[in-house]
Amino acid sequence: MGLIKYEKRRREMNNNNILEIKDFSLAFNINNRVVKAVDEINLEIKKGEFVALVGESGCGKSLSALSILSLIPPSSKILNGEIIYNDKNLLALNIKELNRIRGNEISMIFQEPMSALNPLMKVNKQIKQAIKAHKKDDLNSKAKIYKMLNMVGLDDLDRVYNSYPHQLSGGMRQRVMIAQALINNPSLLIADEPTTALDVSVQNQILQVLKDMNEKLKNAVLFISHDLSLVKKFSDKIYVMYASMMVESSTTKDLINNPKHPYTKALLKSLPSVDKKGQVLDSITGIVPKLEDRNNNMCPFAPRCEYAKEICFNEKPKLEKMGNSCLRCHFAKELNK
Amino acid sequence: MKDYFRNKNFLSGFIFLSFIIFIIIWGIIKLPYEINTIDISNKLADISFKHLLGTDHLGRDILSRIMVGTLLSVEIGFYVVLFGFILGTPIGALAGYYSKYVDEIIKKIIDTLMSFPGVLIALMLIAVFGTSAKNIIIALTIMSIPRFARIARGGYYSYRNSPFVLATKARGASNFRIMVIHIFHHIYGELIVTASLTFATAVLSEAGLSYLGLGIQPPNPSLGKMVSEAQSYILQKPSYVIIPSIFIIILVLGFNLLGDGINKV
Amino acid sequence: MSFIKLENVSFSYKNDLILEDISFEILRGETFGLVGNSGSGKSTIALLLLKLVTSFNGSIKFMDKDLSLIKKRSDLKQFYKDIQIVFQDPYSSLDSKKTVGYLIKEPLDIHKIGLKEERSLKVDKMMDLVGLDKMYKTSYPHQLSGGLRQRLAIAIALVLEPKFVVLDECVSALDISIQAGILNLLNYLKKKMDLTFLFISHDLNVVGYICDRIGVINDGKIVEIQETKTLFDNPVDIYTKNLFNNSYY
Repeated sequence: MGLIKYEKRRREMNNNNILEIKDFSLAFNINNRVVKAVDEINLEIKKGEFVALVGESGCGKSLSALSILSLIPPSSKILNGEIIYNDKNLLALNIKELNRIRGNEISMIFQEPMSALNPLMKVNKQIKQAIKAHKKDDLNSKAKIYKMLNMVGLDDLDRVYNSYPHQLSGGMRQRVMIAQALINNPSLLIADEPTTALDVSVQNQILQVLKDMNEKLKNAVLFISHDLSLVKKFSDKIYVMYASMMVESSTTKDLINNPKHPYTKALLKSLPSVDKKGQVLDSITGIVPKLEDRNNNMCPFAPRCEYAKEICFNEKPKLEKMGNSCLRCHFAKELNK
Repeated sequence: MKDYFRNKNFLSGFIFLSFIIFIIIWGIIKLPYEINTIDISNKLADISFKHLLGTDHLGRDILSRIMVGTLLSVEIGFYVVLFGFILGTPIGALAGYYSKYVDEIIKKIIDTLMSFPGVLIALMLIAVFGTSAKNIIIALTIMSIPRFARIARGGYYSYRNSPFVLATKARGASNFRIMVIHIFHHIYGELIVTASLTFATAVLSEAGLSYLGLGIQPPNPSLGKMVSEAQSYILQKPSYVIIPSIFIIILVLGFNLLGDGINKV
Repeated sequence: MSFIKLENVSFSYKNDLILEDISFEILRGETFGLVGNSGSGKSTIALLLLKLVTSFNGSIKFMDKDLSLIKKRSDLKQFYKDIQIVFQDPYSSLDSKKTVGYLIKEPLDIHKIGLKEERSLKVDKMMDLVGLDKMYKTSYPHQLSGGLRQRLAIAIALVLEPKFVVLDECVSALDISIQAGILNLLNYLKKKMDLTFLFISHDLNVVGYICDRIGVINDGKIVEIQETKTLFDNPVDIYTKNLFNNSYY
């Protein structure tokens, strides 16, 4: 049985997927209860694909992303599941093997470039560090760095090359972080809300940089965000999370034009826009349940769902795969006639 | 509340001070002997059921004198803290809350007061106005006012521009209301700690002054005076000098630990 | 009579020119939006309008009364009954040591509105109006979720029944599924209490939805003022065009 599963996986992996998260659950011990902060999520990223993982604060999207590189908090527990990259389960690797992958084959950028960059190190040294760590340092390093800084859209390269992080603006720092993350040509770049802390006018530019890199270097991108309207312009596929659970996923076009899950529907309906001027917005009553109040044996959205029936409060909905999409709802088929 | 008692320092301080209060109350309810009755024939008696802590060099019951002396120390400490708080806190609050000129003037006054060591001020006052419990309290209060003022100043300075203060002003609140009803609520904890530590210092200072003969005058008992009088008999009857010393230690340590504990919680 | 009028307002702080020659008007009954990046000066305008900062050049008039002439105690008190503000961060702008009920009642105490018993009733009424369950009366701000805290901030601002309210980025820190509820609430209260809003934000979607007219501010200067639909369809100024190109809406 084990061998067959493994063979199956290899075949799936060869089919263009570079990362597969299977039934992954991460839990915390809160008030003597085991509470799942990430509840059996499934996620696939194809080579070169731009995937968005969207959800509100506390839904578990950041934890999911951090889990890929095993950057989870020590107080958390992996309950089940696998994260497969290159036929290997990343969760089963030791620290040496992980370090060979981090910053090299899979890179990550974060929300606050000021805290992610070392304030005492000049830009060139920090990027060189990434190169050296994976023993790719050679006489061409400086040229490589200049090329990358240019590719991420920075001007005045000499100045940037010799600057400390605090001498650059927020947008420039984020570009430096992207440069550092991509210098070793990873096959996957994980971006955890990289534009949230930036000014609105800069947000688009950074997204554009990521899209450009995605097209030029062909690296896949996993983009974490709370802003659905932000990701719809750039992503190929969107995964939606709510209160630890993956509720829906689909190609961007399908999700925005034809959302199936009640939460996605309600979310899209509640987004303010100039076209809705004068109308009352469809707001979602209630609040996102706090981690310590979550019950993993029911649909977490049930208390706020207009279609909820009794089964929604007693049983967790199963994962339904329909072509390119996934859906977790007891009434998936009915709602989508 | 429970958190306070879980803290080791607070708990120890609380135990020490409970013991002190017990001794004081016992003394108020039923003082074993009159404190000034001299009985030379019974001088430097051992600890016995008749005299639980023995007698001093004039045959006076030590326990009774300890009870009254401790009460006196606590009274002095109490007044010093009370007046220091009432006078020092508003001065510091005004200095911290209002900017520039008010602050500068007040800062200079406080710095002047603090540049004199407390005991020196006490000596000066006593030299001029004579020894008495009242003068000791005045002298030590002068020493304690800057301590409260400093803490209050720091607290009010740090909160004066906080967002909620600005927001409350936008509702039309007066500065007085903001200072008394809002900011005070955030910093009174620190002031309690200061009170505790000031109490300890006051008790110790009084003991020191009395030891030097500048405090409470005989025949009134004072822990410090008892220590000084007992010195000459240290070889004959060491317990005579040890006992009042221990009471001073318990009293001072008690307040220090209590203050520390409150601070940590 | 004009409602809110700013004329040639300039403001510097420590040698930095924060606002330069700002002039615009807000009409009674409208929701006027102020859009710009952080650091553009929009929050400073909020502080000036509420007389929390008074050292500026130029004139600001409220109902034809010059703000700098409002100095007497009694005039100031009336001023704060007429103009109120909701801040962006509903946590740091509330005294964390006071209960919800106390915070809503305080403006009534400060201005001595009605008898003590009447004030309690007003607090109840306000909580109903903003959708805050009365069981929260004895709770502290940190015990409430973000959306509820913002409702609390709105209740405190409106309990004095002001005429004009400045809303400074008041939905920016909220989760998306909560924003809609707050925006609906603001529109509802505006109609019910006959309010005029100055809505400060960097989010074009929100501003486009709720505002009647929008002023665009860049680097301390007003670059364009238009009716909402006109601005979205046809921005004139180059900075505005840039802003629209670089945002998602």
